[in-house]
Amino acid sequence: MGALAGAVREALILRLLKSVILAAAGLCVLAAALLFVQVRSHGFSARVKPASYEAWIARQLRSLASEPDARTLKNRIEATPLAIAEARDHFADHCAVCHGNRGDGKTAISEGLYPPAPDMRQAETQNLTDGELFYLIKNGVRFTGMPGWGGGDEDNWKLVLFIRHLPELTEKEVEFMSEINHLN
Amino acid sequence: MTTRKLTMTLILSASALLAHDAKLHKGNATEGEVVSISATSIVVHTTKGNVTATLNKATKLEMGTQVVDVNHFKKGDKVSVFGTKLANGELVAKEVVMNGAPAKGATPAKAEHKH
Repeated sequence: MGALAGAVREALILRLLKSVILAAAGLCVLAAALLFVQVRSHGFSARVKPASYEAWIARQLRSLASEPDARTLKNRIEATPLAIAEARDHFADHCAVCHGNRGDGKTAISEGLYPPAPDMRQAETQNLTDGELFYLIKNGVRFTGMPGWGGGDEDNWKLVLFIRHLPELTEKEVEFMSEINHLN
Repeated sequence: MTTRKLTMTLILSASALLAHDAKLHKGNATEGEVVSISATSIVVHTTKGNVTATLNKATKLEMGTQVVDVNHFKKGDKVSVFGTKLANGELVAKEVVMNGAPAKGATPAKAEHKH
């Protein structure tokens, strides 16, 4: 009786294993087919918009690749008007060429990037923790146009303050940035 | 000889880049003549009129390669003010650099420290 039960259990396990292998193989075939269709339809052009599934996968991978400790880092710089203004000038100097003065990513360079620079006023960026933003500024993101700037921690934390300020950016502030970089 | 000239040109170019160059500053300079200066603000007469900039503890006042204090500046001195505009339009000076010689009758500059 015990031998029979053991044999049944073994058969079930083998069947389950077979199903798992088949499912994994199916997923691989599906992924390869998607990749084939994607490459055949758009080639390697960077001028197309990434599909939503690509963007989702990339965000998950970015999240996985970020150092776990970075997520919980706290911004030590107080959000004073001067700190935000200094970061605004810094952003105008180094970041706006890709991200735009408003942080909306609507720039000539961004249009040709794959993936394009995100609209940083939106939830995808604003929902990141201060530590994650700091990490991204400092280390960049592989396989994108975002370089790792390195730089001084204080300047990077001030940039985090400015990114948080982007949704409330006034036209007057955009004007101040245009005086520096001549972008709209 | 050509190699030596090329090397010298490269060295001189690199030195020029490392020197105190206004282009290395963030933002545009406000240039003009000092109308008045105190520990907390400076008024500069520019081609577009008078511009007031706030001075704070972090503001660096420079005369050539020397860092000086407000007493070294006087009315008529030609200066460049580099700073940040707050959202309300207030200009906060990061650096005030004297351009050329002090105006006639200015107090001779005393070095506080050298770079």
